[in-house]
Amino acid sequence: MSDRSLDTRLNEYLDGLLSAEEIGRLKTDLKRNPELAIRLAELQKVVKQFEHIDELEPSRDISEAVLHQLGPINKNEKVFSRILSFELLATGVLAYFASLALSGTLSEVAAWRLQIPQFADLANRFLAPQSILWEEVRHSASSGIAQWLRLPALGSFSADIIWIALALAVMSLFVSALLLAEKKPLNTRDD
Amino acid sequence: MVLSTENDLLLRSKRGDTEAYGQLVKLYQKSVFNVCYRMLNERRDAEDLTQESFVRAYQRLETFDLTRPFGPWIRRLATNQCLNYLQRKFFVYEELEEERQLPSADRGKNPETEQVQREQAESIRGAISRLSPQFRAVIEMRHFQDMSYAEISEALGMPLSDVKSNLYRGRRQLAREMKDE
Repeated sequence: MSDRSLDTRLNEYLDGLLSAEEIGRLKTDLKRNPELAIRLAELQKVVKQFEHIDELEPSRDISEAVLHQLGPINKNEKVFSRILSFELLATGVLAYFASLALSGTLSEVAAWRLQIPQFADLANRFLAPQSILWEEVRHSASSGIAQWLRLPALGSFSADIIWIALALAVMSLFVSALLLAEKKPLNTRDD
Repeated sequence: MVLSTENDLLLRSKRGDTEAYGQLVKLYQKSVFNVCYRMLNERRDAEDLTQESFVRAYQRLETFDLTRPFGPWIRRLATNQCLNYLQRKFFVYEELEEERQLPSADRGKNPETEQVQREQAESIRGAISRLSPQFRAVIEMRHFQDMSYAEISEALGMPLSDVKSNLYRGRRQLAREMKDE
């Protein structure tokens, strides 16, 4: 019998995993091999020693500390979800306007480059104010941006480009917020 | 009764009720602290890791199966937290003087027996703390959490043969240390 399998059997004997037949065989081996008997006795002593390890009380109430630590997590989650819903709404609105602007601009470029008048009509349809609100917002925002950038009044094309850039910026903010929310600490084993 | 209370607390905790989770922590903080203390043999670290384990468990509550008991799950999680901690940090056994003086929960009444038991407990705790983190984890799970080899293998992501071998080698090392003392 190799030492390795003896070790395994001793281990399993200590853990109460041997069958009656296997225990019988081990006992025979123990009688024949006093060294093995000593090894088993030492291991049994160790296992017995574990009983002396009594349960201690922590010196502080851990539940309080856990709740304290969880407080900011929950608060942050609430604030974060509010920010997230606002960003979602803003992104939706901007994406709508941006898609109109993008389609209009592309049609404008296509009409100019390809000399196809139908595209100009299409561009007009996209870029023409979809509603009074759209026109108002577009106009005041464009002039606001122009004023802020100290530029002369922006043409429709430049204004649209700025709208697209703004929409992209908000969308990238939104995506980074999502990535941040998904980020979890690295830990190989925990449950 | 205890189980229904525990289930109720778990359900409420899953819905984000931190007060309910606080009660759950109160129920299990002692047993989880003892897991960490046996693994680390340092009271302050054990308390910090206990706290960290409960916070981590709260963040993972969504994945917890309510049909299973919370105790073994949180103790297993705590063992892994300690193992990760030990593997990250080179752990030097340093017995603090205050450790010797902290009272335990249930002491025998005879002062002499008490003293002998305390010494034996300290001696075995010290010996365990000198084991490698892997040996410590398998001994903790097998002897103090009563987990089967297969459960330990699953919990630690370790092949079954390694669990058996680490357990045996850990016990042998402890036996040698106890013999030397």
